[in-house]
Amino acid sequence: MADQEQQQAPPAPEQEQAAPAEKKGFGRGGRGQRERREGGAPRQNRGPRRFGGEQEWTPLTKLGRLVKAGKIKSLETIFQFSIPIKEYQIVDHFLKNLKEEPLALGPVQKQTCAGQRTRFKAYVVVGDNHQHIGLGWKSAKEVQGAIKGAVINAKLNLIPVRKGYWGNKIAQPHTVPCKVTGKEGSVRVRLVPAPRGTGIVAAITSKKVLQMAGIQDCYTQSKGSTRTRSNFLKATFHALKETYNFLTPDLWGHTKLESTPFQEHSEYLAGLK
Amino acid sequence: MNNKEEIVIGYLEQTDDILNIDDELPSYANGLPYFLENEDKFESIKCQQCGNQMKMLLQIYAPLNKKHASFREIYVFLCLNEQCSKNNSSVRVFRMQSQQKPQLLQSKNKEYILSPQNKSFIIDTEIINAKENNNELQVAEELLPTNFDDEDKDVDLKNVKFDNENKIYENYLKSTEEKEDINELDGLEKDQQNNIDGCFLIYQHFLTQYPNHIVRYCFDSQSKPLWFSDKKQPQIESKCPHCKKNKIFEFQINNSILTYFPELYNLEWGALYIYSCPSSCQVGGQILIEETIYAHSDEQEFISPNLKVDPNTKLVSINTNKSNKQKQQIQQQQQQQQQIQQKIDEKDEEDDDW
Repeated sequence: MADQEQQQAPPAPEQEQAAPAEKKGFGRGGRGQRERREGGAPRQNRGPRRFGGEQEWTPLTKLGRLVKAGKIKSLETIFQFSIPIKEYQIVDHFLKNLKEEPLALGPVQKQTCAGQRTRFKAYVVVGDNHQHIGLGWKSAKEVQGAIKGAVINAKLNLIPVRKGYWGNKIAQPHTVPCKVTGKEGSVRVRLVPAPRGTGIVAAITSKKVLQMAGIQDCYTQSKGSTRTRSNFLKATFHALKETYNFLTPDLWGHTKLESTPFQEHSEYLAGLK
Repeated sequence: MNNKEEIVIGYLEQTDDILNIDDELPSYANGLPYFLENEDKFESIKCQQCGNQMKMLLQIYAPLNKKHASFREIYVFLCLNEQCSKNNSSVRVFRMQSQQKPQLLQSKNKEYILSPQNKSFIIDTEIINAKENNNELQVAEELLPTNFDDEDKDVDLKNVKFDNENKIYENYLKSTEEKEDINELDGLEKDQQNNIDGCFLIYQHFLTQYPNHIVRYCFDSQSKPLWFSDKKQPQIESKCPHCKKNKIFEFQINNSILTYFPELYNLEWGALYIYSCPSSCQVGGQILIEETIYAHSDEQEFISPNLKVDPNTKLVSINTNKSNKQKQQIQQQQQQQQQIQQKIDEKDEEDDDW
């Protein structure tokens, strides 16, 4: 009797298994088990994935494709035509010696029905100590996560910085080209050109930003509630952005109209080269 | 229909012989289309803007668990004309289905071939768990500088390694420069980042997790597409002409297909989203049934005429569990904060004499 029962039991689950196997859909045929032969790791090796590991960058935007193919020679072409940068790998491609430095790291809280929820907010400045600077921020549950997000944000917000002279035009530019001011919230930051050897005369927060932008000498004046560090940092950043917005007499001459990188490399984009 | 818990991902693999497959009908890209009926029975497929013959991008075999749609093929066609590249009508999608196993008839029209120099590619698939995928995307939302609303979510960060960031943090703590008291950091949680495209960062993250994949298939009424950008996200409200039900998302073709076909480099869209009738109706005796396709591009110049596209879409995170009331409250709070900010700015501008 027991044997007969056991013999009856196995056929039932088999039938149940047979029904779901007939479930149809894209990709559920026998072919799903075929191994990939072409490039890249075989599919069985996809274990728990690392977030943003060192994987090759496949560009998703037109600009990214041109950069990866080496058609664009420098970041300044992108800045000249004000093309928005959507992929941070473009910045990594051009600037290999980018330094990241967090300037403000602290907890922020939000009131919820179940008490308070604290997260960490990080402000990170990214720069090459020569002429590029980016400011990014991110709040996340862990400090390291906030730093990671802020670095990517800073790379996407990268700007060029224009430098000039205080007096005689000898050697390389060392200071801001003219008096510029930036504002955010109630904070006003004013950058004033200074003679060579002065150094950066500023509060600790904005001094770091100006150092990483490559400015060697500068006087500053600030106004408003500079204790709110987020606004202070952003105001300095906006002031540096203004350096390339200012029309000085040496830019009065006519410039030749150039074609954008998309027009110039349209043949490459159309697949002919 | 697919089970909600699984998403199918398609890769391209080069092959010489398309018909040497385990499945009943082929799924492949770049070649002469294999129709299920004689192509003399319908007109050759032409672009609605310029009238040129369209090229076939790919065809996939997507059967359903229904009798009348057990053999179902979907074809995606493109127009390569430069003038049409900035228009949504440069892409069209069609569906062919039959009840019994059909005879595969290869088209004789050589103009359907997209890239004559390249060989054809078979679409290979991988099935991934939707819940795990959702968790991974939530981790990405947490770590990438997206602009989504703050959510109370429990994100599991076990698998993420923060080697670089740990070094940076230690250097910051060790540095002997004067540091202001950390508790003084302003209590403002929200900082608007207007330039950053949050959806694009997550889309890019998904593509680096499964590199070189072409198709993301999830045919379910509740499945959401992975949008290319947060600008111009549409609300597709087209209905099936036969059963009048709303069309649902079936699959999307990603930008990574451009690495295989250089002819497509000049195209403006980032991803194609295909919507089809949930019950796969046989519409009025037609052989080729047209479905809705949306070409997503974040450029303003790209024309998407027939679908409801709101250029000022507000950013929505992947899992929004908030009710409508809460959303309205948050919007009101944001507006009030903006008004207060404006008043402060106006007052300060009066004092400005720089």
